[in-house]
Amino acid sequence: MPSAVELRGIHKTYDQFVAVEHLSLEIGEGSVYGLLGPNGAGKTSSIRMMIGITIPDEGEVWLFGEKFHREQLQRVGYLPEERGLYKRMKVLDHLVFLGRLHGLSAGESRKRALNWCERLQISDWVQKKVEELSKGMQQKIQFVAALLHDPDLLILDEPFSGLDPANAVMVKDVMIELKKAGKTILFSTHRMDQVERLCDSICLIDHGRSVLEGDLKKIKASYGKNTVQMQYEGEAPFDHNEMIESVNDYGNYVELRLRPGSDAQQLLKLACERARIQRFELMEPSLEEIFIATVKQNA
Amino acid sequence: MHNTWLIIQREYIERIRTKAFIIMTMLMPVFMASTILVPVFLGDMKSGSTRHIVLVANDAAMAEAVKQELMPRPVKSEEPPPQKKAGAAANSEQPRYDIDIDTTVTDAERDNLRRQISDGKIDGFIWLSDSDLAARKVVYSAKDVTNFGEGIEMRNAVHSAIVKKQLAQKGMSGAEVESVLKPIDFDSIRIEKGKEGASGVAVFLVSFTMVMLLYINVLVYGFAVMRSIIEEKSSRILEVLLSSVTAKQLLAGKIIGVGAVGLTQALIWLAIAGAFSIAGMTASRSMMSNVHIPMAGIVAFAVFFILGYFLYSTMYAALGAMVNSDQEAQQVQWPAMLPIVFSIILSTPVLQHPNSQLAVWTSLIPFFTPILMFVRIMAETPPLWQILLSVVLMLVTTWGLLGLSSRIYRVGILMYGKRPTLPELRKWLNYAG
Repeated sequence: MPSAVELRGIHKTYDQFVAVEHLSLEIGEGSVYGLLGPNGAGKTSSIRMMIGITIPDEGEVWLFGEKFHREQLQRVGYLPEERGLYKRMKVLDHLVFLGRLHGLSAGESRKRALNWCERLQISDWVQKKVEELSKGMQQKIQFVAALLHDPDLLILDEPFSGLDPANAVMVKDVMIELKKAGKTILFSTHRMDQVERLCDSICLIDHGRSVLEGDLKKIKASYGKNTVQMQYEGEAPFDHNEMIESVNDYGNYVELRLRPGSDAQQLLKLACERARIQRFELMEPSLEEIFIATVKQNA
Repeated sequence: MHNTWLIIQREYIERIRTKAFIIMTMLMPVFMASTILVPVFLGDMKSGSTRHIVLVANDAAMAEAVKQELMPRPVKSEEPPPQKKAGAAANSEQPRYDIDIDTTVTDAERDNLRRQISDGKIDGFIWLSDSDLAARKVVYSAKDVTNFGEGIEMRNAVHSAIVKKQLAQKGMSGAEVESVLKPIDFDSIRIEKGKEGASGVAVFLVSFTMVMLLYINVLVYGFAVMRSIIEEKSSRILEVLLSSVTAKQLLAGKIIGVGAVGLTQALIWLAIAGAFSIAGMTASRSMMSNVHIPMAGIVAFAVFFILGYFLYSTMYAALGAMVNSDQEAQQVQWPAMLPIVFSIILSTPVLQHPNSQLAVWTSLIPFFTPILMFVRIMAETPPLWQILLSVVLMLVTTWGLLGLSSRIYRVGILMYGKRPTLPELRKWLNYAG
């Protein structure tokens, strides 16, 4: 599969601070790629270099199999992490302006903007000024702005932050639809559940370095079935135990990781003595756990 | 080019539509007209009221002569001398002065009159004792003597009364005296290539207009460029824009777009001012009728105004790229203001000696060129090479500044949060990003 994005050892320092350290990754065309990492890990810095807002000190950026050049940006849609629109402009005027900057004619931008706004249920707002809109609404508009020119590569920095569940679903549905249409989507997020459901591949960045990269299914498989999810009623089913490596207790739901060599069956027995177990499942670790464990390891 | 054009369009249309623009465009002429008209109007009202003054003289005939000079002239044959023109209109309705003659020239009388002024019985008195007249030193005492026009009028009245009296003593007839004293219309006209060019008044007026227009527009729109850059930084729309345009395209688009708004406004103002002054000129044959502006002057005005305007806007853009808030912007805007204030100060000596070393050199410094070279062109055509050189230098400086500010801009937006120190700024400029 040809790659939509290829980073070859890109490196960026600001003064003494290393923002991105020799990062390499490849995003296959038509895939959904998740860029994960704690705050300040270098996700946004990497994205900025991908689209030529900044230029790496070392390394190269390749888009669509060619070394980066500005004309390629006509094929890229970008939703920045910190949203920004001209506050006093009318929504439709604003979308048309951004569409034209991406090479569309005024008429075409207008048509597409109206279509998308209808799709995302913001049609009633297109004649309002941006500043009159709620934050979530503004975010949907910016999402539309990134899609207007029908880009082959969509880069979304934290696309779901600030959206209520209904809107988040709306945005997710559009992403899936675009994926089916063969578009490549790169998005960064903190929300592991979405990554888990949406992404084909991921890259986990910490302190500017890639600590985990590749196909999501393979990554999860490599951790083996060492995780137990348990739903219970009553008291916590057990105290700390030599079989358990880590516990994440939610009150009536617990997720825990077993030490290598421990037997899950034995744990179940122990738990039954203490509480009513409604569900007990042995499974691959959730991405959240992998995330926390990997980041801890590297700290 | 296409992108820059889109940015220009957006900036222009969004700004022209704002209420602030419409209000400012309409209010400024009203404001300017009132700063000119209100004092004139107020002055007229004041001089319109009749003032009660006393002429104290040993010689009643002398006092009578002065009184005649001060009283409105009977409307007959000859035109009144121009300096009294303004007064003449008011005079036709009511006399400006109510004049008494007093021949008691004693110190006691003087004290008495002073008391009367304090008591408000009279407005003032003119002391025309023989000894004072011989010494050619006359004093007007009044409660308020701040009306210069009135002072000049009285001095002229006394002076012409004395001259007339002396000429009459030498045996001249009244008509002869009048014809000797008839005032002369005086105007200075500049000779250019053997032809008559702009008059002195025109040079001054046009230069002054240029200075004020440039000053106001740079102040308002230079700052607007700066603010719009800061706004973009803080709203972070910049990142979206930079993913489709370069920093240089964006900055150039902003400067030209905001600039076009300023030019539109300047044009509207000039059109209003032009309409008024044409109306004014046809209405009265005042000193304005002598104003003659050569075509070259108008072209120079346009060229230097536009170039100067963009040069300063680019400077503001560079400053805007360095700061993050309006407050900071206030603090750093002096480097842009300084040269314009400086060239306003220099414009007077340059106007007086347009070909001096000082004038030649300062007018070639790009930041001074818009005002100083223009003033020189108006005062006396400088060599063509100097004009062209100054234009080229301005263009080069503007282009250089644009490059400089887009570099600062590019790095600046990714380092928000603090204003760069000078060493940091140097590093930014060397920065590849």
